[in-house]
Amino acid sequence: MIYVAQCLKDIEIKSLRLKLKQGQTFDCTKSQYESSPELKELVGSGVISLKVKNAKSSRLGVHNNRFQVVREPKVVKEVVEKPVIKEVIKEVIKEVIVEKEVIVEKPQLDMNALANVLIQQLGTMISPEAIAEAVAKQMPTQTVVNNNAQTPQSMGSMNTTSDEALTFIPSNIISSKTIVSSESLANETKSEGSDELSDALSALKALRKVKNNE
Amino acid sequence: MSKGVGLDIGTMNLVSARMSGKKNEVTLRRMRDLFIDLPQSAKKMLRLGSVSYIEADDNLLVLGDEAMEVANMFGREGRRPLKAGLISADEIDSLTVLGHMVKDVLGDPSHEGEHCYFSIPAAPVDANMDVVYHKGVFTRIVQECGYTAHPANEAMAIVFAETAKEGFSGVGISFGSGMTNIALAISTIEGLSFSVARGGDWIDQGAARSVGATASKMCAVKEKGIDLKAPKNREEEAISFYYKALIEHALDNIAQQFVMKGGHLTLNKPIPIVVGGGTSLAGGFMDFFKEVFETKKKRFPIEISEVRHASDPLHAVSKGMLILAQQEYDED
Repeated sequence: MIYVAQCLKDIEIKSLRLKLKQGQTFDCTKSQYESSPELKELVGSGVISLKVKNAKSSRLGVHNNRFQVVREPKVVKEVVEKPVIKEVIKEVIKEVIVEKEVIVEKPQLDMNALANVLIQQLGTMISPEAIAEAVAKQMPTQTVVNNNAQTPQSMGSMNTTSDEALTFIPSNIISSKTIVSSESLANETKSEGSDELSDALSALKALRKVKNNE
Repeated sequence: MSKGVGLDIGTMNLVSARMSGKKNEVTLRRMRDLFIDLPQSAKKMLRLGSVSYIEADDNLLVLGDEAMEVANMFGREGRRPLKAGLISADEIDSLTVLGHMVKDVLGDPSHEGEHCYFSIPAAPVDANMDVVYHKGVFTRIVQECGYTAHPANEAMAIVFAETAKEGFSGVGISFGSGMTNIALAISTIEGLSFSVARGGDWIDQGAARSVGATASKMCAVKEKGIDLKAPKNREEEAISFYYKALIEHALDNIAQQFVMKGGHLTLNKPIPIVVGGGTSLAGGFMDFFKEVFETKKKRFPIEISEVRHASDPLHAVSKGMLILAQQEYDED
């Protein structure tokens, strides 16, 4: 499909390397149009109007002498993607920043199908810009729900409920009821000549002293 | 008797270390982390065989090395209260058994609230395991024994025991049975610590799968004595293969973790790697380790001065813990 684009202002389309004056037209293919966000934006903002080439007024297949139904040229409408507004609220409570977002996304609509239906139904009456605006309203939006409504008090309790605090540790693990048959079950050995151990302890003591003095 | 006690809580052994009355003599008490339950009817037989046991909840529990002998006698597998370095959730009697083992290995405190440093593993980087419960339970057990409990990183104990001449800077690796613990320290400060959920048990299981044997058989082959650099049969070859894979895994993770988490650390001079733990006792382990390290040395992000075995690999952790416990009194 080839479109005929007509400039409604003096503009420059950098992506297509074109400088155009008001009223000038140029041809562009559907793929060119779809791959150029700049062109889409210009169409969306109403600087360029886009029409399908060779979509001349044509008569309907039914002819009679009384009525002549004229079909208007097809108007291609631009679907302007509404910028997704993502709102992140940062709340700083006692040097703790917790960001929590719940992103609720509405089901994706088939925008092309919707646009085609609108064009067919309203093409003859409403401008492409108006249709674009209407379609834009139907675009999926992101709703950011901020669950950051915790008070400083609740944050405090959250900090205290760490994994460690939540872990249950049983008491009285060593039962006094247990009867042991002999004095000890462990093997005892003596490790002699452990100068290294004494040296390590002295070195550690010295190092700690130096660090304390610094 | 000197004050302070160190305790190494390992998957295979519990070892306590304390200075005895004699100069520079360390008393080590060890118990194998193994038990077996027997019915009350077996009591007479255990007495006749002079086998020590404890009676808990109508059960006879044989602990330690004797449990292995009794298990062999009854044709059963010994039960282990720790699994992969942490308290085994599958063993209902774990806590009772561990409580008595720790009490036995530690003995009575020399004074009320004597300081006891005990080893805990770092969180593994390759498995989803929680060390919080493990740490909490052992803190409670040590306290119930009458000590002031101080949990401390297992691999850091190797640094304290073995790198005094380097000013307590180095990489300590504890190749244990359940996992391998790694710590990098600079002048006593822990810069990086983590563990990998692979150790001696992982080698046994892997080798057993490869040759169609049981893990206990592979463990027996290992403990009987094996030269990793010259395996004599298919079983030893499989063990050797998994040892190499374990060393590679540990070294790769050291490099990866250092790049990810230790980038802020400034190493002014090369530091040593000191290897300890029961799994490192296999014949030729250090040669094997050095060989694997040489292949990775070029791309290793830490400048290493030397790779050496701990002077007492099996007791390096308990001795390191003892040093930490003793310094509590030196500060008084």
